[in-house]
Amino acid sequence: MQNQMRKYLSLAGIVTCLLLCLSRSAYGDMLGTGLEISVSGDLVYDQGVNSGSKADEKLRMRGAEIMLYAPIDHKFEGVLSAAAHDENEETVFELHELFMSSSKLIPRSTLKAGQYFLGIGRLNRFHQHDWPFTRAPKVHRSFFAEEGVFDAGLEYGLVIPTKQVLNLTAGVTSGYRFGHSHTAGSKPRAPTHYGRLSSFFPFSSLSGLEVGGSYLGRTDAQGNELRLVGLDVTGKKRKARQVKYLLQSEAWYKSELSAANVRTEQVGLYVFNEFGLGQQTSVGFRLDGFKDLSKRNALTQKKLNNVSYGSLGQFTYSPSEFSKLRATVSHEFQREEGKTTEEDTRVSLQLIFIIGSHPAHAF
Amino acid sequence: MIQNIGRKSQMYKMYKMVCLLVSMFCLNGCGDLTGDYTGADRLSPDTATLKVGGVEALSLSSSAYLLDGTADKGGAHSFRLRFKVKENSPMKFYFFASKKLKNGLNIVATRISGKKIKLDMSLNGGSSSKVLNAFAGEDIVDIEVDVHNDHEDLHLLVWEHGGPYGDSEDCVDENTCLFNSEEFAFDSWGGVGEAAGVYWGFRGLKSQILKLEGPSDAKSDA
Repeated sequence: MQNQMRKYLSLAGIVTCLLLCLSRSAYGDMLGTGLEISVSGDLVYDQGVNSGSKADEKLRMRGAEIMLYAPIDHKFEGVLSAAAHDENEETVFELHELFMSSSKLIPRSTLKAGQYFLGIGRLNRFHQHDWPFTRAPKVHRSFFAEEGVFDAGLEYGLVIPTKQVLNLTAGVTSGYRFGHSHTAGSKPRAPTHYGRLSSFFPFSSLSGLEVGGSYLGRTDAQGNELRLVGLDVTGKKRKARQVKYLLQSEAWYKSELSAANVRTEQVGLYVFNEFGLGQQTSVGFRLDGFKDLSKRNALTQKKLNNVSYGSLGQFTYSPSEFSKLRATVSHEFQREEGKTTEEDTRVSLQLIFIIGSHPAHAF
Repeated sequence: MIQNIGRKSQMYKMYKMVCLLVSMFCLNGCGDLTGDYTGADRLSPDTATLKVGGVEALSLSSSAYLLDGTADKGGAHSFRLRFKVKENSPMKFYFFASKKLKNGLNIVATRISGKKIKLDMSLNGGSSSKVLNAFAGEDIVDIEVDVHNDHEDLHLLVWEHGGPYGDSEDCVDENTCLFNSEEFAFDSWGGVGEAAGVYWGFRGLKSQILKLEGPSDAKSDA
């Protein structure tokens, strides 16, 4: 009952905010403030092919997001994004991002304060409907939950003026929750703290490669220590406004030390390649891998040899930057001690649309 | 232009080196990359196991047993528990616990007055209780338990075996589940955190265990 009330209050708050924005006396008045509104819809249909598939086999409104952003004054910008997700046939509204930022206070620096998706890795820095594929790879789903990790805190970005330009991002957030949560969480012993160092290598004015290294740490209320280290690589080759080739890859290592001094370790990665066929179409494929390095047989305490692999092939039709239709065939399987323990083959259809403005994407 | 060509060849050299390193890593770790059988389930000659409820088990003490099956760290799994509960003889089950059955989710089934069954759940200092009317007057309890240890606060669902398998927050009121910890997420179960282990087991009279299954794929993705 309490949870329902909270949801209704959140929804009422968001609708009120939107109405207030729209009820200003004239459209011109709104234009004068620089307020931009963007609404995006993400619809997915998954069809299982094998009996072990966990595909929903129904059209799901995976995400409906509203984003409002504008300059607040000559120093600050403001962003609000809220999303509705289909969770178990229930529409769950939640605030994703609400932050103020400024690039005008400290030279070569950006400050961000509020709630936001943490600035680590590649996928975690993008909203789900902006991903170049439909479903996140296993490493992202396992380490960062279905969409990504967002939290409330402070983030600082610095462009280091060396010969090879380096971008440093560092932040600290409350850490009450990390990953998937339906509860308020609890005060951690060490808040979530993270950093990312990246560099961009331009090949020409239309193509280049960005490489980044990320770190995240947190100690929860029970004393369990979490450490994440990742490497992300993104390369693009453009011809005019069309992306002819996209390479996107991330590798992550996760270490957890429990309060009882037991360490567990997991690693995972994905490599995604996409080739533009023309102005409006592209094909892509992805390979994923994941391994639990510390899983042991309960009775013998010997290490279990386990590995998970995934692959997907996709075709995307995008008549403009505001709409996409994507068809994907994917296959994931898990092997442990010579046996296939899980196997999921599915066909997915995704529809994405954006109404209104949309902020510029990072590289 | 010449600078760009220089950069491109530098990047190409880096790319080739990375590919070579990855290939060497793959060749060295071939076995680790195929999930082949390594005999991890082979017990040493001096280790005796027994079968409890159809599951291989290791006796930790006269009444405590570690059960075969390792959960995914930070994962979600389903377990089936079919057992008898006698008066003054509670059955205690552990999930996502250490190999000594500590620091995990504990579920204690007790026979209370009126021949009803009471479940007491506890994790990291948080607790919750539920009287199960479904098994009032019955000798045998047959339940399925979903333990979602991939949530910030562990999410627990309990159903009668055979269903229904509702997982909404109000599933208890809707009579589609026996217990849902998220009904109390902001009250008694708030802030329990995650269970720290990956093993399961029980404490009690093994003769009262009729059937055990797990860890299987979670029935709910709530």
